[in-house]
Amino acid sequence: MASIVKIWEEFAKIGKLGWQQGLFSSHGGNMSVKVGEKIYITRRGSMLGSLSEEDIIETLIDDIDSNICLASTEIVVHRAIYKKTSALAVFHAHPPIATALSMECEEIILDDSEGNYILKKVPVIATKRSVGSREVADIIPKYLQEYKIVMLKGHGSFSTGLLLEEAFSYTSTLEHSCKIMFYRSKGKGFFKNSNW
Amino acid sequence: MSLEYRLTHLNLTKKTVKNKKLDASIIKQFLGGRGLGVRLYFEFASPDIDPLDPEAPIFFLTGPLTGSTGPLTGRFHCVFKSPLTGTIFDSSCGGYGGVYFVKNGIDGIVITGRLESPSIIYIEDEKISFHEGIYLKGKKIPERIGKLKEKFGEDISYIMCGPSAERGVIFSNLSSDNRYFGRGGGGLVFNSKNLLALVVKRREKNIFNPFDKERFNYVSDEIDKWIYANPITSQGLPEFGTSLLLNLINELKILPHKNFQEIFFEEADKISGESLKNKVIKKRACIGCKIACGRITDKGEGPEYETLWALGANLGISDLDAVIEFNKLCADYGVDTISLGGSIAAFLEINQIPFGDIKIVSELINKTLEALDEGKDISLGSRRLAEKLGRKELSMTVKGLELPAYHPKGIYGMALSYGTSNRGGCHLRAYMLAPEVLGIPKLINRKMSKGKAGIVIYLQNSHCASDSSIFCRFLGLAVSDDYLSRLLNAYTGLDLSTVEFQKIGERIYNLERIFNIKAGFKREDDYLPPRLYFDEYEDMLDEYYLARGWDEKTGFPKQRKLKELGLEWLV
Repeated sequence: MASIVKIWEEFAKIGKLGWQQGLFSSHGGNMSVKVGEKIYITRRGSMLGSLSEEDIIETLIDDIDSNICLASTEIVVHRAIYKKTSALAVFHAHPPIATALSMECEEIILDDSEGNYILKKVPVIATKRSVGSREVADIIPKYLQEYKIVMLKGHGSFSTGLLLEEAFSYTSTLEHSCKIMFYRSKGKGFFKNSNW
Repeated sequence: MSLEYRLTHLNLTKKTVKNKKLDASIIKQFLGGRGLGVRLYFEFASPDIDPLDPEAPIFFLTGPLTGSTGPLTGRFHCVFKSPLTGTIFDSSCGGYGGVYFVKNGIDGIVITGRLESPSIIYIEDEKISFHEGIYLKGKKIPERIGKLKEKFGEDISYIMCGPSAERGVIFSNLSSDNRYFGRGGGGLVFNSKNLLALVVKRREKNIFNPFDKERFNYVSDEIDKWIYANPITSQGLPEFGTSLLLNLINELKILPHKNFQEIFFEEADKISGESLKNKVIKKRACIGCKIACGRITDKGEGPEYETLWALGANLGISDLDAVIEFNKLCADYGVDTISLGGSIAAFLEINQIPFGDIKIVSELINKTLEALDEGKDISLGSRRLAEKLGRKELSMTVKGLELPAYHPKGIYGMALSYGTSNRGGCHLRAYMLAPEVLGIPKLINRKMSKGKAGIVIYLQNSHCASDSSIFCRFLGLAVSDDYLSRLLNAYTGLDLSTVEFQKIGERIYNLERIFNIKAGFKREDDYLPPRLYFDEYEDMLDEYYLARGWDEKTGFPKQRKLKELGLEWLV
């Protein structure tokens, strides 16, 4: 029980930071950690900026159990990532500038010092259905074997790490670098199909 | 499609068949299925009629979307006055029967009167014929199915009662293609008409006729997208069926155990969805359903969550094979598993017989199905049984209907929905499981009382409209009302806003309420058994009546509300 309490506190800390940074809307985003054969994942429809203990759902990686009906909509993607990568944590967010940019390009190349050093470039993946989709679950893990973070076109990011904080940090870095790009362009030409 | 509704009236006493096309205005107000049933009941009989009077009608009604191929629309309803509760009662069934009614040119059937001898009704290509049925009497349901197939061919759908109905078991149900009109004693009403089976030919005919095909396909695709994206409808239910709830509800400590004396069953996992999964040999879906919640073991269809609880956890039984066997017995004899389990639980407690003894429970089930010895008392249902034995407080019922598998003291919205349900203690009227446990649309505090009435009312109304359109309850786990009304509009040409869709639901709920009041129900009937009562309940009920626009003392809808809903003709 003690370890579960520790896990939910970590979720609450990261969730609050992510929300403060504007990486998702009130009920958007989700995150999980892998512990042995189990996944602890945020509840479907929970508020990441205000998580409590009952918002963390324990379920299995390889098999479906009854808690599946409480787990995040993206559980299918989280499971696939854990099965096909060495990740121990997954962070899914909807960072607004990176998401907007993902609708304009096939990869995001980060040219500020921190972004370039940590991430360099982020692939953008387009799928027919992007929410809770098996198509996404099939594609995303392949990219996450080579990249720390990937973008789903027009939807958001999936990042992985050994720790939840690490996965979160990649999302934070990506959005921060995208902001720098945006500021640098003064809006002009940043989005091809707009008047910015 | 047009809004025309083809209703066939069978008067069994006179052996007459009358076909009538209902006016579109009645469909616009009540849609079909459940809503149409309660409206038509007023045309055929008074609410105070004895449910087993030959003139008491029983309806089998499809809805505007039955057979449309829209997601989760392959259902039909049975509506009757319940001999168990004395209320208006609707029961929803999946399977195939409803779709084949429509393919045979019939949208709904109402049956009144009584046949002179046990008979079967056969429908093929809009033609209805009566057949001798004495050879089915006394036989279990699988044998009856075999006999019907010998006579009418393999390609049939059927509605039938089982041998328990012949023995007067009050919670006898109706079987249809191995699915059930489960609750309320519809089997007993059916049997009271000397009717053994209603058989319909499986006719292959394209009945897909949307008003706006492009829009219908678009909304259907959108709904499919949400079904596909939701872990409950795309993973949980397809993997486990409804049994996925057992461990979950137990962990939340709201799983009734030992006739609701306790809230947790130590051995629940042994009869959980996870355990049942190993016994399942096949999955089964209704027409138009991508979820396929049906589970088939080597003993047949089921058991579902409520049965695993009623004949397992609530009786202290953790032997899964035994529960599967009990479920099969109920399927063979045609009884509602929840009412049977609830009645046996009351019997055990009243007689201070230990819970958890498979041999004792098995014996009681067999005797109840045959209405023999002490089983005769149990076959009266929990309320009548407890009254007869002088311990009416130990009947875990509301309005005489045995409560389902959620302990109301730990889930207040469910408690209020049990109390205010028009068919007695039922979880499906508001299905508060969605917001209070599953977090749909968002998780709300289970033990919050203030403000719950508004949510209960919204969902009760919504489900009336959804039922009457003929959607499966599980669709509401994936999409909100606006998708339902949009699909209905695209198929029928109706132009209902979500608010108007809700208003239809409210009209139906109020009409059911008025039926019950005219049948003799009062505010006192909206309470839970003493064991399950909690302090906040009274205030919740007051808040509910106020928000409903009902008189605080009588519970009758106020004049203004009746006028708003177009129901002033009832006063």
